Amino acid sequence: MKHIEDIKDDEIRIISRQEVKRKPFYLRWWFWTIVVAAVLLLAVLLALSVRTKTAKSVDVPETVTESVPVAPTIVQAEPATVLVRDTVINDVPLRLLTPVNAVPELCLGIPDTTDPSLVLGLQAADIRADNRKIVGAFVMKGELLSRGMAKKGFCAIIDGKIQLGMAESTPLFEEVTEKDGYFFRQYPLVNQRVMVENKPKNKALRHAICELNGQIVVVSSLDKESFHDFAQAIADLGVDNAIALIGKNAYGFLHDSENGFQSWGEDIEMWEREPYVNFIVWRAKTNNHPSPTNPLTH
Amino acid sequence: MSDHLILSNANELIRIAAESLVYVASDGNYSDIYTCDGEKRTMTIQLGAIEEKIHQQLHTNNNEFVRIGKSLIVNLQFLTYINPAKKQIVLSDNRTFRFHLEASKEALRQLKEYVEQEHKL
Repeated sequence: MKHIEDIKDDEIRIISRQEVKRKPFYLRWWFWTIVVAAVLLLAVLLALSVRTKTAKSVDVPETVTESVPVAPTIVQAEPATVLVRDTVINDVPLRLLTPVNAVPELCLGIPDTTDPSLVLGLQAADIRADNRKIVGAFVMKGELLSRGMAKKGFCAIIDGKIQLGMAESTPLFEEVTEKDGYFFRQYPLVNQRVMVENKPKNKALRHAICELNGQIVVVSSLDKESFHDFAQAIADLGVDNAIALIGKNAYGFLHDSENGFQSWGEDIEMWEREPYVNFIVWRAKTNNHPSPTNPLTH
Repeated sequence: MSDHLILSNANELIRIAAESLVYVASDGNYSDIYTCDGEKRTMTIQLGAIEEKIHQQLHTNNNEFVRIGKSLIVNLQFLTYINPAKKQIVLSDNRTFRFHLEASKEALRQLKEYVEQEHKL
């Protein structure tokens, strides 16, 4: 659209001009031409319709259609679970967690891990060491809880659909606030299939949320890896976009239909002391949830 | 009747009379909206979206809004000084407020020319 086109710093654009006084439309010649033409057209159509009705004076038996009540269709939600698959890329052992029949959302505080409808949860946005608040923009059900752009990677959740990307500003942020969605920022790892370099050089257990073959998959390293090696491994895995989740001693859990409850990371009591600890969780779909057609909904 | 600019998101709504809106400055995903009572309000709306709203909503008054580069929208009603060489633009009502802003030389040169043409200087 013309008015939201990009503009360069050395350009100007006039948005709204002072109004020029114009004749009211009813004082203009074209207004009266249209009115006369419309009246004539209406008269012709009326005459034709009267003639057609006269010609159709044959009695036609009335058809009565009985309406048959249709029983409401009850859609049974498929059971939610997490598919777990291990692989090795470039000597980096990885675990792929694919939530199935579950809808993502963010939550503040430690999620209720005894709730079996929560099939997967990992810590999302980092906590600042100085004030213990969230690093970067964070939106929870449309409410802005934190602002800033310390990290360029972002995860937006709108209508149960995850969108990952790398940008200093994105219109998705605004959409999230309008549609009661969720948003957080993290280190970008892969952008448009290309690995992104990041500053931290230390080795740690790494987690990432990735878009792989049209599905959202959480990938975790099984050994301590540098950001570079981990990002390169998931890029080589073939992911389109990926951003980091909190690694190192971050808490995470899953409810797997085969093996039951599993958790990893540091003791949950430690994180309970953090007022802004936050998670991305996948909750089992219910019939009330939107049933998106896009596979990225997983 | 005065026109109002209405900006709204999931959490809040701002309604500003066109003649009270002095300028809007971009801060990434946020916009800082400055009004002639000295108030500054920050909203999670990008500057492009505000430009679109101004275009849609404000068109029957004496206020003329101009987008200057990526990060400014100004109300020309309050324009009191442009100096492209110093990259300086001042918005003021000459009584209660005065905002000194910075923009690119080229953009300010174009704005100066535009104002000159409009007033046939």
